[in-house]
Amino acid sequence: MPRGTWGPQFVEGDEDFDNSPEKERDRESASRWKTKSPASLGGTIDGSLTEVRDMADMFKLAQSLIYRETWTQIVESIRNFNIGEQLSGMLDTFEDKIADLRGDNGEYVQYHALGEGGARTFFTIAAAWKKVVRFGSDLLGIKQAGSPVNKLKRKHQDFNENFEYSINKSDNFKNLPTDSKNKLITDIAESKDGILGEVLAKNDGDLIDAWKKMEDLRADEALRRNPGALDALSKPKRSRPDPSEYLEPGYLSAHRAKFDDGAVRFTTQSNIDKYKTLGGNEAFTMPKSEFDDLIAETGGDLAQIEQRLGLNPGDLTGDDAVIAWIQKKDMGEVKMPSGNEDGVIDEFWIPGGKTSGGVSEGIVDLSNPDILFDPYPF
Amino acid sequence: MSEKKEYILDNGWIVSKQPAEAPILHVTPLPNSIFRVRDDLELPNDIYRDIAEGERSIKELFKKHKLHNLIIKWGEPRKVLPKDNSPAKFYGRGFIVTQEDNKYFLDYQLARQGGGSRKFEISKEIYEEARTGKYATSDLFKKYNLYHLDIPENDVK
Repeated sequence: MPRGTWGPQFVEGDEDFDNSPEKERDRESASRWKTKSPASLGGTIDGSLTEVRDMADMFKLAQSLIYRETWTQIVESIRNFNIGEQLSGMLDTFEDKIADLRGDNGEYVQYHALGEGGARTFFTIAAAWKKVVRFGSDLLGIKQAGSPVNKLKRKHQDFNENFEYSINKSDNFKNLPTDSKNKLITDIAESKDGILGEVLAKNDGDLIDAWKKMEDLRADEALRRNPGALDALSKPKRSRPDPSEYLEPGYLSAHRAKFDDGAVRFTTQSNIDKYKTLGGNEAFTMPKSEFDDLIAETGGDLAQIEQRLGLNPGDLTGDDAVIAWIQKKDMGEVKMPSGNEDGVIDEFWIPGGKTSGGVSEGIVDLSNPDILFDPYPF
Repeated sequence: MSEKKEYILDNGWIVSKQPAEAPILHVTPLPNSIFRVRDDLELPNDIYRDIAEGERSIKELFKKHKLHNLIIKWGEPRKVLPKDNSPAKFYGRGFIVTQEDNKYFLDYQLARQGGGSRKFEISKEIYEEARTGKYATSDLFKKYNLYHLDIPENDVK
């Protein structure tokens, strides 16, 4: 019985072998049925491309010779014409069939049944087509349209590539407890447009650590799945981006609306007397409405309040502590914390305007001594 | 003939009711709590009814009846006292700069809740610029890149 394998075109040890993760993904996914370009295409084109070895290089070469606008039209035409979708569907069917025929060692024990020449030709054309459409779309930033089934397939393929070939091989992921691994996989699978998987796959592991910190500090699911928020958390204080760069305008306005009943600031009478203000120009406050809930939930216990506010034990237990309630009309703009504010406790800070204890927090300028406030000395 | 009723809540506070009188909540100071002032409050009947029927959890009474809003008495709205600048001391927006002998210091309130503060030495140039009154704390940090000094180890208090 004929036996054979359809592996990569070149193997480890070859002069051309490139063991970068990107190339490895290429080999493992689409390059199994790699086409070879004609030798005549090898060469130098304006120093931008030195050798054409596969379809990706052919595409790059073609792109270098044609204006971007033209390529956009070509890719759009291909997509609209739907040949790619049909071929992809046929390819998937054949791949399923191959999988049925494949033995555990990766050899095609009934390889002859498909007809070597015909199958190879079909797979070569189909895989090349699929790669051209997808590679072109990715390069031009065009998301492929298609039926819901195809979108789901694409999502599955993206997840598989990102997870199996990058994230799953990262030490940062391997070191997570099993429960956390499962939760992260769920977050990757359910993040909008699969963006979390894409970003984590390209990152060296810092963002997985940031994700873990968010999980430990009970950040909301939406924030755990927000790569921008993970990036902000992974950066050191003073270099974190403005929250408007990674939070939706609707999220920001909803956060501001929480302060419609005013803001509450914990401070001390001695600080008020010393500095002649309630705080600095970037002072953390909480919504008055949530202050009421906080007292109800903690019974007024300061240790519990400190924990809910993401403070160190003992931060609120001074003898001259004061709770100041600033009415909305007196407090000016409420900003989303960026994590760059002085005195932020890195150990506890998370993006998104909530403390690690789940209480909303906002930044208010309290440096004006003319701000009216209602004090509650306790 | 009915007698005086008395109930003890789970945080130690006592609720009492004399015949033909309104029920009273006797608030006593609790350690490590925001409730540090002794007070006697007249309780609304619906709250008292729950207590008489067996509710003893202060958190449940807070959640269900917002009882804490009766206990927490906010003071009259007020402003902070006027600033009193001197040649060796200037009040900025959220900070103070001082001259102590031949040294200059920036003393500022931390952003976080709780009223923490920090103080570290600065140059004469920063001191004099801060005295112009144009700056808030974060402005000074930005203008003179003082961020690396914003750590507990530099606190000279």
